[in-house]
Amino acid sequence: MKSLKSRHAAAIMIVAATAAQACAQVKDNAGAYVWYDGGRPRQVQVDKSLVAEFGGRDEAGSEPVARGNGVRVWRQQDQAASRAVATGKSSPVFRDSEGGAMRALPGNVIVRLDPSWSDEQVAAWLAQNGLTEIRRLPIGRNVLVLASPPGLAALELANRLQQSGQVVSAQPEWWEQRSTR
Amino acid sequence: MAKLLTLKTAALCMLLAGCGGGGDSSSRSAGPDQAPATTPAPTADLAPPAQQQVAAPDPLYGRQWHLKNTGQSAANGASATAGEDLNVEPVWNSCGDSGACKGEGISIAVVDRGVETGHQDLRQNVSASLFNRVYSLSGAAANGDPTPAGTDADAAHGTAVAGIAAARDNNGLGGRGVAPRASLLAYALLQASTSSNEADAMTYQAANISVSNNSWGPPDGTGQLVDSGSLWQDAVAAGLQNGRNGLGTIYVWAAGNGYDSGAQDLSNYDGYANYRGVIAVGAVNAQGRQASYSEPGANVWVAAPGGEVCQAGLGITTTDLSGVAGRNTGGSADELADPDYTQCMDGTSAATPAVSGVVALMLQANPTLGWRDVRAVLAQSARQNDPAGASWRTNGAGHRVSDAYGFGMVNAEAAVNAARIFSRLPAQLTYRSPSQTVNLAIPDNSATGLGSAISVGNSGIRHIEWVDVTFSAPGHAYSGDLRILLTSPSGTEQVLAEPHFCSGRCAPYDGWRFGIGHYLDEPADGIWKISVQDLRPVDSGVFQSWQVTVYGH
Repeated sequence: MKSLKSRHAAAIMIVAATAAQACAQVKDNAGAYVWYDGGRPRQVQVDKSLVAEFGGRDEAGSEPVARGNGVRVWRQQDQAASRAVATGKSSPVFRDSEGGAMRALPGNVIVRLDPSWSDEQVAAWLAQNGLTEIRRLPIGRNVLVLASPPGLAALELANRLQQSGQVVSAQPEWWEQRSTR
Repeated sequence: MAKLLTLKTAALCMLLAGCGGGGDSSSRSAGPDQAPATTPAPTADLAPPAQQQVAAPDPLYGRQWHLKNTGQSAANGASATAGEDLNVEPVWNSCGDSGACKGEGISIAVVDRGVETGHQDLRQNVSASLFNRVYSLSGAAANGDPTPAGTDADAAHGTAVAGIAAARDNNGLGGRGVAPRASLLAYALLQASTSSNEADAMTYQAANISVSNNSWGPPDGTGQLVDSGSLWQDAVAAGLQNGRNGLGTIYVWAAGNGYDSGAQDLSNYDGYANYRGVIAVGAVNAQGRQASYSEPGANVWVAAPGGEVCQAGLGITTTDLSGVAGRNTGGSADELADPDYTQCMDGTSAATPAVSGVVALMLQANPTLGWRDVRAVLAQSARQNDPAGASWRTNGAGHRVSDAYGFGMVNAEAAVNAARIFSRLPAQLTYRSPSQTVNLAIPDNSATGLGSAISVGNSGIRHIEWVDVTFSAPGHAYSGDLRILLTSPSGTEQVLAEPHFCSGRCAPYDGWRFGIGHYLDEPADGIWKISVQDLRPVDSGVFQSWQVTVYGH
């Protein structure tokens, strides 16, 4: 156990160094944004005409393009969009393809850590990386939701963790457009 | 008018012991975010006792053609075809000595936008021992009151869905659900549909959730491929493995409503509805034929009544938000006089809880069925509706199957009878082929197409339960140009994709997983063939690779 811990500590140092130095790759050569779904790279495109806002800020005089599922989507040129961005509770709107369903980054990152890690090891890894666990998901051992600001910061953190090689996988929390049928 | 009716209903309610006795279930379920202190026995959720209630007929039952189709008609002139229903009355009438044949003790979680759990026709069935769930973007999911904040038709969706599955029977109110004594839970996922919330909604209390009803998904009618993420898939896998104390929660899913759009969506473009862990449900109308909107696909397992929009046909009669809210806000010629109910619910959303209700009845008849057994029983007992329909064909194992209806319209009586005597399936085997590289250009705007074959041998699978085909043509800039056809070793042809339009541009097939249920019971070994045609001009691309994964026994 002790040797495991020390090996783990060494690994943590590497992650921390990587995390501190590297700027995560979020765009591919074609300019699309990349995220990792269970380790598999997936592309999304920014819809530059829209901004997603999270939270219940009062907004008089403007109607969003879409609302629901906890999100209001504004046109980029709307003054409401500027005010939404100023609150810090906003995100670019992404689509898997032109005309596809909307998705946005409300904040937080989901990581799958080595399921053999003990709670102590997980706690040490979080501390060394300055990460805060919000909760765990009951879909296997050591699947954690970590705190992150909304927007591209969440994508960058997820990709940085994914590219560090120290997690099984990391992805941003996505809000996705879903409908009743 | 509506207010008067509501008051009258309240007065009637006072006369009925148990109609609200025990308090508002929503407040009962609004406890702290914690699991129940003691774990209930398998699927033994304890709804309030029914014995206190004075039986009285459900006044809207006669309108519920999906339960008993007597040839009802609508004000718009549409008329139903007698017999085109779920055939559930014989199940209710077969209670026997145990007195339990209506879903008692079986829990159904309605994952939706929220449910008015205090509705007069639902509250007696809302679980007393399990927790409702609410979701937000800013914090963790929590136990709480899932009643939707909104009052529009979309806010009423979950209440309508819950009523189809399990509105209370014989209480002198409204209509009834398919499993009218089952226990309802509401998970208000669509208040905040994030990756982690979706995972939570699939797994929360799974040990005690028998059926998870999902009348939602990515937006329909766009023609776009929308995949499910690995978190959701892992969550469903966890529910199949650990749900219902190891027998597997039954995930029932709406196939989708996009067929009558310009895109002519197939259900297989939806990575939720085409996942092997869910039962995808298509919708039929009151004449027993494919509802105009219901998406066909190789993944559609069964069909159930979903109705048509009220202006064009007969909808489904079910619970609505109480008072002048929801679908029925009073005053519409199409609607019921009582605003607590609607007769205009429609969609694969409506068909799905009908199947969830039937599954609840099956699990009550035989609580030892595993999730794969439930699928098998539904397929085996389904009725071939619309027998003259062009979509029917016979697969290599002799099953009649249709892309519109799957194995047919669910038949509750046959399903329950089959469930009682069903022998559990042996352990599932999985065969995954190597990825077959093709790397050839698909002739553009040509019926010539390309073919490729994969040989499967020594899989040990003599009875296929499900097939996944992973297909890649990532450089083709408009995937809607392609027609993709799979042929099994038994020679059964199955369309996976048809040429179609998309809103915007159709995303490329880049490792897209098609789900196929229609090879049920065929052997896996032999040559699997795929044919890919680009039937439209302008965009072109390369068929890069494909892979077959077969599940069966």
